[in-house]
Amino acid sequence: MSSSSTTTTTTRLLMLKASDGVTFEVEEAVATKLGAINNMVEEEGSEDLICLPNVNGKFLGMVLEWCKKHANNNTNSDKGNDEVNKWWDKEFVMDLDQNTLYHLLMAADYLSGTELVDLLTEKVASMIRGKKVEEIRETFKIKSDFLPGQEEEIRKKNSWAFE
Amino acid sequence: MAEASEGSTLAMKTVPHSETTTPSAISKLMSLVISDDDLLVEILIRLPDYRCVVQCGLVCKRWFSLIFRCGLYFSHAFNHHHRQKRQLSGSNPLPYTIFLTNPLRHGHMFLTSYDTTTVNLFSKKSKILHGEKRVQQSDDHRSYLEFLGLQDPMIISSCDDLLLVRIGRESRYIICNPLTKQWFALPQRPRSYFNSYGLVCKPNSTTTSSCCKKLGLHYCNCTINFRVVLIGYSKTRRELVTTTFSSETGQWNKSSFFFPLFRWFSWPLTAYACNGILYWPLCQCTWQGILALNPFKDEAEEGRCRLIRLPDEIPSPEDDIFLFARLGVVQGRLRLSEFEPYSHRWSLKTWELNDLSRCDNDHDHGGGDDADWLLVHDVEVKKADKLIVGFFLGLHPEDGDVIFFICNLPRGSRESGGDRDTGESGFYRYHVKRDSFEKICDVPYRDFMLFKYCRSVFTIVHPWLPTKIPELPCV
Repeated sequence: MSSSSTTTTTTRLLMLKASDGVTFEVEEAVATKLGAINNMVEEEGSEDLICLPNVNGKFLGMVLEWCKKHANNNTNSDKGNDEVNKWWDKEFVMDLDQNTLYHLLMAADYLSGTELVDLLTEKVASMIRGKKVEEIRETFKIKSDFLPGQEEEIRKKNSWAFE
Repeated sequence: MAEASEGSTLAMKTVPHSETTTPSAISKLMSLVISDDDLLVEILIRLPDYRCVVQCGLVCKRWFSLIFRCGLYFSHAFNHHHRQKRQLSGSNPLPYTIFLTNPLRHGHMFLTSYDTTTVNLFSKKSKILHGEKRVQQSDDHRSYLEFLGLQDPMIISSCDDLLLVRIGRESRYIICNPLTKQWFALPQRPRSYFNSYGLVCKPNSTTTSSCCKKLGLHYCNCTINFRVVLIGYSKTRRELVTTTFSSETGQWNKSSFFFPLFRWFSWPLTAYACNGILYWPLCQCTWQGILALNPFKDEAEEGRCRLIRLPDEIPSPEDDIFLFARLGVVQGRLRLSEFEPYSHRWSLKTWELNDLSRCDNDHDHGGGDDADWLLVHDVEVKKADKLIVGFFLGLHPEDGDVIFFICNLPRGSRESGGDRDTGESGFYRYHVKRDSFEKICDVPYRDFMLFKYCRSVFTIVHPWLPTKIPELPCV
């Protein structure tokens, strides 16, 4: 029996439990920025406690921080706020190390936070942009698996892009 | 109930989960993201241009096959992402390149590109797309088209990012994408006198449909068809003679039709291609209108060809109107700009042709000349100086509020000496809303005098996905 269900107009609070047991109490409007949570909440008779065994508390916290910022903005959306949000997003991804970026992206993808996936994939793309092939491999620790001559052939076929 | 206390659990997806943070683990983690095909596509479509994408194809086999091998999926997704970004933000302009030809000589059919002065203007993004080295090596049209390996290439028409090039004095025609250096020679055209040319392409609706629709793409240039139209005038029969090359049949098709003109032109006319239609400004001393031809329609079909009247407000000056009025394609719409430099202030007007109903809807009657012109600019250009002399070059293909001029600004006082002051001439960008000129580059005075008559301005706009010229059927 849940005691808070009588107040329907005020925002419902959800408990999100991360893999390491850390719990977050968040407003429904914030958590539903994540498509996966939204689907669960929309199911009839859904619980207020949601376990997320795939997301660690640290990164869930960050994801929710992002949700909070963007959920607030949806309510009173005007151009100025939009700018503030863009600036906030920029700051949010600015100094992410690869480890955090990876976990956030996996979490955002897992929780279907489409807008957050947009932001994070944009960030990864910015790490590729302007780099030479060798530098990209270096950044992501990818080994070239082309057979000898294959790489040269592709280069020749698309010579315009390598001049 | 037992489950109530445990709450709901989000269904597990097999996601690797690790908290280790040693350096080698970090990179492994990142490569895991990169090994999720869906995420990798999401990342790669966010690269700023196709040059970058092609370079990424060399990273490893998986990246290569994702970009080049998965049918057209990646191309569509890339196109779709950038189009959407443009629609949402209103920015994200496409790179463009402008080709200028010294007109006095271009008009002469026996002179070749060796005799002419030509200039390429690359936009900032176009420079990035082409690569610095290529831009540096492309001083004129000839060096830019060097990849053809043919003598005397002369640009005679453009559409999207494709060029129609005539080779030397022969009547050989090449269609090429100068960015990707893909090109085909067209078969020998029928013998006849033609002096105006037009290239126009259109998305191939039969092959693009399924995949594009899945992504909600209404327009995609992943596969195209094209037409090359040559026009001449038969004096004896007082008829226009055209021959049209079709990319689907791989053949030229000759036809002639009567066109209500008092006087035909002897000067080559530059075609403007837009939405599958070719527009030629008809002018010889005075501007008689615009010839609109839809070469994708059969000869017998109505609305294939018609004359568009100019806006009523356009005067018919005695002077060569081409110095003062220009057509241009701006974000896929045909525009007409006109300016009058006579008074102390220049006045500048721009109209947009509301012709969209005609290009696809076959129910339209066509044939009429009741096109609507919508006035989009009516401004006074504040002259920087009384002595400034300026002429039209063309319209900015991506920014409707920018018009290109060639200007000559006086360097100093002319009263002082007997020496003729040649001033400082250059190509300028004029911002209609800011009412300001911005110099693009210098032009030697000698060239300024020539380029002021420049009728041959060819603009190509590089779509996010470079247009691939379809293989021509063997005939």
